[in-house]
Amino acid sequence: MRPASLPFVPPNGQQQLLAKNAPAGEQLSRLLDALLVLDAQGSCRVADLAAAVGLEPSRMRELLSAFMVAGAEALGPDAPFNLDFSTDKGSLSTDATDDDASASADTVRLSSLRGPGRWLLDDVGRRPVMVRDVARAVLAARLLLESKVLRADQILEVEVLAEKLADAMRASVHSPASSTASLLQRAVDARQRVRFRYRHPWTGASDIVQATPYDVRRQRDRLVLDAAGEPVASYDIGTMSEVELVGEPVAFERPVLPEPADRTTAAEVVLRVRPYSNEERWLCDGWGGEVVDRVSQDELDVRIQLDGDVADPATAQRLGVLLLQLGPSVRVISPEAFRTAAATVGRRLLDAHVD
Amino acid sequence: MDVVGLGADLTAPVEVGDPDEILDSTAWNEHAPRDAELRCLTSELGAVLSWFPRAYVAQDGEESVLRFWYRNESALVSRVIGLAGAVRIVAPGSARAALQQQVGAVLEAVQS
Repeated sequence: MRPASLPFVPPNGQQQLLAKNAPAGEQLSRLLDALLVLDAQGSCRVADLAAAVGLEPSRMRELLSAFMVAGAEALGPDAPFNLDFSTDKGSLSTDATDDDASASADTVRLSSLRGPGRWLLDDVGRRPVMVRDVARAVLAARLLLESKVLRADQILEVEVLAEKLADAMRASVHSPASSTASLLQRAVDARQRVRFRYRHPWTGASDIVQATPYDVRRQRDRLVLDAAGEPVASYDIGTMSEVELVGEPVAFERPVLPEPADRTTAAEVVLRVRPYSNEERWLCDGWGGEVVDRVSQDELDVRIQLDGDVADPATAQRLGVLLLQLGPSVRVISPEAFRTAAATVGRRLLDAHVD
Repeated sequence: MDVVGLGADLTAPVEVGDPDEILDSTAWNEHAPRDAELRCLTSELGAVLSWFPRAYVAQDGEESVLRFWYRNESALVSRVIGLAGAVRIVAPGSARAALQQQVGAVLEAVQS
């Protein structure tokens, strides 16, 4: 299991093993840590999860089972998640035929009931927290420690809390390209042309572009600018720089644009991954991928949609970047022309890192 | 930490977007902080820098040098791969080696 690296979860093995009869609050705390790990990883072996948060595996399974059953009733009809257990033969069915297998189910999986890409902790642990609030909490914890009013056992707890909060403060909060997107939105609203340096995100080609901006929008995992073209040219905002407004406002009429989904050609790609792997989660949650075939207990095929035309080399390079990020265990099943998609950008990266 | 004083409250909430995008995952604690040095062409700095918001930038000829610390090496490697060759890792050697290993393994799988 890849170790969890979450701001509020202690590193694997750091928490002492919790006794089975520990107070409910302490057990709930470990369960919440486990849910954070599950939310980041999607699925993992119960034994690994238990070791990560300092619980006996049997107790971990009991707590997860209780939470799974309590879910919707305990948290209301909007409880946005589900937990399920599986064996090496796959997920257990919900009828009685798999009751015997449930005792040996060694993998637990967390899934969202709100569709791909909507994780449990969108609603709980990942809710944005104001930096000033965290700073206040750190200060309060430090002042409490200085006040000498705490009992010895409380001091340790407060020290741990202060350390976690201080660590969280070090994670910088930043929205890539947000200021560029804001500037472009101003240009769209003012109907004023823009000029920018554009590095094609996948081919690496760089150029100065002058464009007539029509719309700023989110396209899957990116922010894009739709500008005048045939019928619309889309630019990845994340690779723009030196953006400036040029000419006068009200310089053009904004035409009626196609629906956002119709502005960019999409290429369907099928990738083969291991079930319950980080790669499956990355594709299904991050890319809105859909499992189209369970090939065997060790392999399944996931279909995603890539921006661009299959015949466009830039589309292959975009897939190549994704494959390089995912690692060598993922294979391209279709289109066949994309099977070597990682080669060009991979060689470019290795050339840049020659020792 | 010594508290010298507190400034005025922020006048507006901090602008936040999709938490998956705004959290700099290279800052998550996989291990103790390490210093990184990346380099890119200065003409591409604007696009590169938005992905490394904590970097201090220096100039060296036609190149920009980005220095910052990170705690999550796999996130750093993934981010550099995501920039598709616009930026390269100079240091530390471990991150450089991790990128070479990951990219090399994918290329080997493609060719086999």
